[in-house]
This record gives sequence, C-alpha cells and structure tokens, in this order.
Amino acid sequence: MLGEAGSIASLAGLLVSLLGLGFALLQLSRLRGETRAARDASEETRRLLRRDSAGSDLTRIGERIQGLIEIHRNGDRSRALDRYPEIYRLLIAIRRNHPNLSEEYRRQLQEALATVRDMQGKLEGLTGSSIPQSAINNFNAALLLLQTELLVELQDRLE
Amino acid sequence: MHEVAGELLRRSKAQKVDWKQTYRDEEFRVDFPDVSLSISFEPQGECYQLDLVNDTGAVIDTVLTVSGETEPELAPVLQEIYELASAYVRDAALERALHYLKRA
Repeated sequence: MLGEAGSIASLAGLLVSLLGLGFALLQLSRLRGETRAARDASEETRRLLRRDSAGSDLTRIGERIQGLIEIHRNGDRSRALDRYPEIYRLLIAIRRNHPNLSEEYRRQLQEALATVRDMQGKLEGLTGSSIPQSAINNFNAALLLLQTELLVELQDRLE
Repeated sequence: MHEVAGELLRRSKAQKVDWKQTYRDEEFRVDFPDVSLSISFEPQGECYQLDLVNDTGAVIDTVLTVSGETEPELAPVLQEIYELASAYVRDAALERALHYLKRA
C-alpha cells in the first residue's frame, strides 16, 4: 500500500517536473523571440538614423555647393575661399559616416575632395578680388557634375 | 615615395592610370579610394613634384626634383610620369573629340 502511494507520488513529482521544464522551455523560447525582435527593432532604428543622417549630410552639401556656384558666378574670390573648407568637411563626413561605401564611391568622393582642393589652390594662386571667367566656367561645370551625378547616386545608394 | 613613383611610372606606361588635368596648367592628378597622387611641373625652376594627398585633402608626402640636381635619380622618373600623364590626358580628349565627330 505504502509502496503504491510512493509510486503515485513519484509519478506526480515527475509530471510536475516535466510541466515545469515545459513551462521553462516555453518561457525561454518567448524570451528568445523577444530578444530577436528587440535586436531587429534596434537594427532598424540604427538603419533609419543612418539614412536620415546621410540624407541630411547630402542635403547640406548640396545646398553648400549650390551656394558656392552662386559665389563663383559673382566672381567673389574671397567668399569662395571661405566656403571650400566647409565643403571639404562635409565630403569627409560622408565618407567617415559611411565606411561601408564601395571603393568606387570612395574614389569618387576622394576625387570630389581633390577637385575642391584644386579650386582652392587655383584661387589662392591668383591675385585680386575677382575670379577669371574661364575658372568660373570650369569650377561650376565640375560642381554641377558633382551635384547631378555623385550626390544623386549617393542619395539612392545610402537610402 | 620612391617606390610609389616607380610603380606609378610602370602603371602609367601600361596606360593603367586614369590621369586628369587639374585647374593648374602643369598639374595632373589621379584619385584612388582614400588617396590622390598629383604630378606637377614648374617651368621656371624646372621642378617636377609628386604629391601624396590623404583622405582629408592634406598633402602628406612630397618628392621634388629641381633641375635634375635635387633627387637626381628620381628626376627622370618624375619627368617621364609627367609626360605620360600629359599625353594620357591629351589622347583621352582627342579620342572623345573623334568619337563625338564621328557620331555627329
């Protein structure tokens, strides 16, 4: 009689243990799902932040380049020289904030940076307060190309 | 920079360097993902100069030859790079002009 009761108690104990184990596994599975969802949400937030940051970087640089085109058109050498460093900084920021850009995009950004540097070098080598018309034409042709090709492609790529 | 100059000369001879004219008449530049190289000539002092520009636009290394006296072993190398860069830019422009003329 006592042995039978003991067996029943053991079985009941085993049943409770199995139920407990099942519950624990269920909780663990739920927890895993929640962790994955939290990780996905965090990754998505980071992606959106990167996209917004890229969008605002590109918008800012587009506006600054447009401003520089106007300054060149007005032949204002002094204001143009003030404007180049900011454009450098924005081009450098795009490359640093997006380290996964392809080699070709990084090369194009390097080319843009070197081109703006050359403009600055050319103007620094001139005397007087104005910019020669031939330089205005060359500079603005390069800046328009930068606006209409590289910045547009980067906008698509980074979004 | 001597090794860079040697390799640049080899690649330029093989037409593997996409040289571009800068806004200075006597300067040519090639851009890579994080660096640029520029070769320039100063006629008055007969100087050839090769600059290495980093990813922030700063010149971080330079070799300069003056009238074949400073760095005499490098002078013919830089001169040849300069001549090849100049020919590359001129030939590319001629090719484009011919292409447009034939298409018109």
